[in-house]
Amino acid sequence: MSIKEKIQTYLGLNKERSAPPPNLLAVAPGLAVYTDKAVAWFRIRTSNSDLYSEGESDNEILSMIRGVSKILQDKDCHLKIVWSRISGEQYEKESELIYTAGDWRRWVADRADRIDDLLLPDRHILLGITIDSDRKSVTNNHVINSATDMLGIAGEGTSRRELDYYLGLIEKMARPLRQSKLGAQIASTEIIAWMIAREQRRDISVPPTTETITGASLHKLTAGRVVPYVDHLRFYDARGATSAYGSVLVMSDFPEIIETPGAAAWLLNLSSITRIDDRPGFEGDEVPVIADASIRFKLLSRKQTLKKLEDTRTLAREQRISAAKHSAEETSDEISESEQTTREMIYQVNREGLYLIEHHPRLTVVGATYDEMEANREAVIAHYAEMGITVAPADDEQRELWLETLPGDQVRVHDLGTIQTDVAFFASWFWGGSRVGDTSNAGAIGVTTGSTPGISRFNPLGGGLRGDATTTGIFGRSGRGKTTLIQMSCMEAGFQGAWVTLFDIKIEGAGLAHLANAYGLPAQVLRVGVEHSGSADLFNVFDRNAAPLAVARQLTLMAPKSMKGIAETVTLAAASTIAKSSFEKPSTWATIQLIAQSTSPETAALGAALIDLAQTPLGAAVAGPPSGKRVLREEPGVWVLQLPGLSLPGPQIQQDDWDANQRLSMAAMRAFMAHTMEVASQQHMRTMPKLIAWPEVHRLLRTEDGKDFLDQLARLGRALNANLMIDSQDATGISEIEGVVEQLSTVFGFQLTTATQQDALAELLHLDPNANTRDLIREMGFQMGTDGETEIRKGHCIYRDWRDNAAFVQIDLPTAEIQEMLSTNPDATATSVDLNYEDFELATTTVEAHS
Amino acid sequence: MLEGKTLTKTLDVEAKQHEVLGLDLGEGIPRHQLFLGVAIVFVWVGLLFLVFGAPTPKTVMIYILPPILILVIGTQPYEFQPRRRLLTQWSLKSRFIAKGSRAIIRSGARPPTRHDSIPLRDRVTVDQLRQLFIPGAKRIELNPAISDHTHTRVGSLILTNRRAVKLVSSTAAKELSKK
Repeated sequence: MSIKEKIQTYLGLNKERSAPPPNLLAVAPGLAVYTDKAVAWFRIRTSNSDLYSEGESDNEILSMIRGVSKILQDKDCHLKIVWSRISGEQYEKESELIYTAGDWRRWVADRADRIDDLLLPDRHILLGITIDSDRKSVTNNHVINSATDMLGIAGEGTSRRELDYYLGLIEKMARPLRQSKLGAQIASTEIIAWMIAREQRRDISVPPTTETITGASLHKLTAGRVVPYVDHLRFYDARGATSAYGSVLVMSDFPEIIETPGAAAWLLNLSSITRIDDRPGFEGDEVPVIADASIRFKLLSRKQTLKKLEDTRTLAREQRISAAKHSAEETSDEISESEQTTREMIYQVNREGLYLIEHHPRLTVVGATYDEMEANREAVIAHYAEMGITVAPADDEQRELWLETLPGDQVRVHDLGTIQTDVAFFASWFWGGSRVGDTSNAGAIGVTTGSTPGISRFNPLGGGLRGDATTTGIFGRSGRGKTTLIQMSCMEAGFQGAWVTLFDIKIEGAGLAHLANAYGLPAQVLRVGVEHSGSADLFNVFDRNAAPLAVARQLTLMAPKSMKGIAETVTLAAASTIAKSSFEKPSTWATIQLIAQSTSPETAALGAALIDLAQTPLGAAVAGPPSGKRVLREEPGVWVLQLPGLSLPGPQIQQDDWDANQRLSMAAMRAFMAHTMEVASQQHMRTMPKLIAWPEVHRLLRTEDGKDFLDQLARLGRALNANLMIDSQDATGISEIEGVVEQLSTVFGFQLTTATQQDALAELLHLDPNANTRDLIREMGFQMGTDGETEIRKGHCIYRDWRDNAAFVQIDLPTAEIQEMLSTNPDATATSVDLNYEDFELATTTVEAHS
Repeated sequence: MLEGKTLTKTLDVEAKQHEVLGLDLGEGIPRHQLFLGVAIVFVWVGLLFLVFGAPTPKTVMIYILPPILILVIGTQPYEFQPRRRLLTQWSLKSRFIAKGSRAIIRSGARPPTRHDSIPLRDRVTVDQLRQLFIPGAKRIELNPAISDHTHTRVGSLILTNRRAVKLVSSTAAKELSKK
């Protein structure tokens, strides 16, 4: 910079301030052409960084620097972080491809309304790279335009050849950017056009769906009037009335030392700014503050970096020598420090390949009124002040600063720039955020609550559809929302025409059947009684080779405590004999009969005891005479299976101390779990999408062979392409079953409070089991109430999807009605209505079976 | 843990002049102040000299005092942007009053006329002048009363010969590339 330019900049008279606004000539995929330049635009993918450990976080920053420093070096770059609203309408449109059964349109409409109510911001990160900065002289062009204006002939434009040339350059640039940690994709024409138009009007909330523009005039994109005032801008609509108030803020001072991970993530934090509402009727509500960011930056080449450092060091040294020669004797501490720091930096540039980045960060806040804009501005300033970053409103230069934030413009206000090392700049984590869940073909189950909020999708049938592992694990302590999540998933699967069976151990799921009925899905509560004798016989589930062992274990479990000694060998021998016999349909009942007919009095007594148990309602289904009547339905719908009289032993009672009912209940639970698998394996159900939900599986682990049994079922589920959802309060127990862990494609982790359980959950979520993770797992179940007291937060969990992304999610039910129906509270409507199970009627809606 | 550095201040060394024409200046005077001071004195005195001629004992203060005041006050940091000096803000305010409040219409496609500027009373207020000329002055008008007026359409919306209408959609681009 020459002395003249330095003085001009000092006095705010540099020529860039007077430059005309960018004159847009053409927009194409990834490209915006202006009179004087051409800019390539890329969309940056959000990285799922919220739950990174320190090591992962540091590695990603270093990989990012390594990946992009060569590509972006010495180029004028423009980073834009802009926001839109997630719209319910768009969600409805996307859902048309997902559902097929019941009144799914109403289900989707309810969810869409809820999305609109939540006013969720949607972040878009765009990176502009100037690929031609010397296209035409703006001054010459002005002269040519004036002349053509006078003559009334067509003026400037772009040729097809020129566009092709630029598009070729962009393609070349896109490849390494896509492979880098930026995951950059060429921005579509529609997104570029939306971004440009948005700056002018400030009233566009939703970006267009891609590839919708078929032809339009560019002047429509830039239509709008912006009037700069001393400290703010006013945006005017077509009728000339104020449509929005805005203010461009300058981030002018950063802490000298920036450490990661921590508060250094100044661009990631952009989405967490809030303020307290003071409007009448809303006083005290916390409202999000949306601030757009525009950062023009240049990653200096090694040569430029060294020159900058050398120049400063030379000047500082000259000052030191000059002061020593005169009465000052020594220089100020700042100059001494500059000399020392630049010396160290030069060493790092030469040895470690350090880069310097010069950037000009600006934030734009808007409001429907001046007061709202002012409140937003104050909230942004206060938010960054807490991080040690000075954000200041720029009086008398709103015009220049606003123009500077426009795509295709340039740095106009030079004297408020910042120079940082590569680590300090990339520690801003502009690409970071929360990204979890299915991206398409899945309904919303809640919202991500991390640094970038958004809707979170989950398809409980996804594993089967992808041909991937099919088990979803839900872990956490009681009363945190596990059952609600399972019931929501059952509804989602039901609308996709699936066969859904929920094993309702605690007799609290009738509301699900009510709700499914209300939304036009076939649904019923299925209660097991004596008439279903033999329906859950393990001989029906396993083949003749595997069945004897499974049946023997089952009968041993049921056997009275005093007969345990002989039960194992006797039952296995009897079951093997029956399996090898010529019976067309071997059964547990036949096995018991064989035992009872033994000549040994002890064995016969065991048989008699088992016959007694097999005549109870629960025992009949497991080991009673085969009646041929099934409990479970075999057509698509939502089926809630209940076992009246089930009394599972609590964790404090040892297996040896279980009473007859508890032993029978445990055997019945295992038998019906196996039975659901057997139904799912029917030939005519092979191609049908299936979801089987088993809550409370930790209770299974209380038996000696429980782990093996669960492992066996998980593998069977995968083989049958049946999607399983298991819920457990015991993450440690599940994490020890390798076969089940291997089958887990998705995990939801709710609050757990003991260190052992938290570590096990961390492993299942593929997070580092350390003190920080333990704190996160404990604290996610609490929140601050409006009175400032801690209260329980239900439905808040960590969701690890099949892509191995993990983030915080709040499970959200679309309406209060649904919430009431799926409530597991004892006083909820669904459990308080008079449930005459025979009255459940199948909905008449046609269900299109998945083919 | 990684550590990054902000080097803005490190690289912005305020050089001092410790000696001028053999005269030791003690702790030194910032060079930019010295340079500005010389320039301001030269311009001010030159201007007065051209208009009124050489100073007399009675008018000598008019020749000396204003440049000194400008220099002393103007080089103080601006309360609301410590990286700036008041002199810069004076310059920016002058620029804003003159042309900084002109509307930007259709991203500059139609040049603004004088009707598109805000009223003078909105461009500068007494409180703003107080902040600009009294170092360290706090803001009094937290919510300045600014006139709310609508802008009526003046002149044509866009110059008629601007043909800039090339908008190639993603689909169209794919088709073009196939050809």
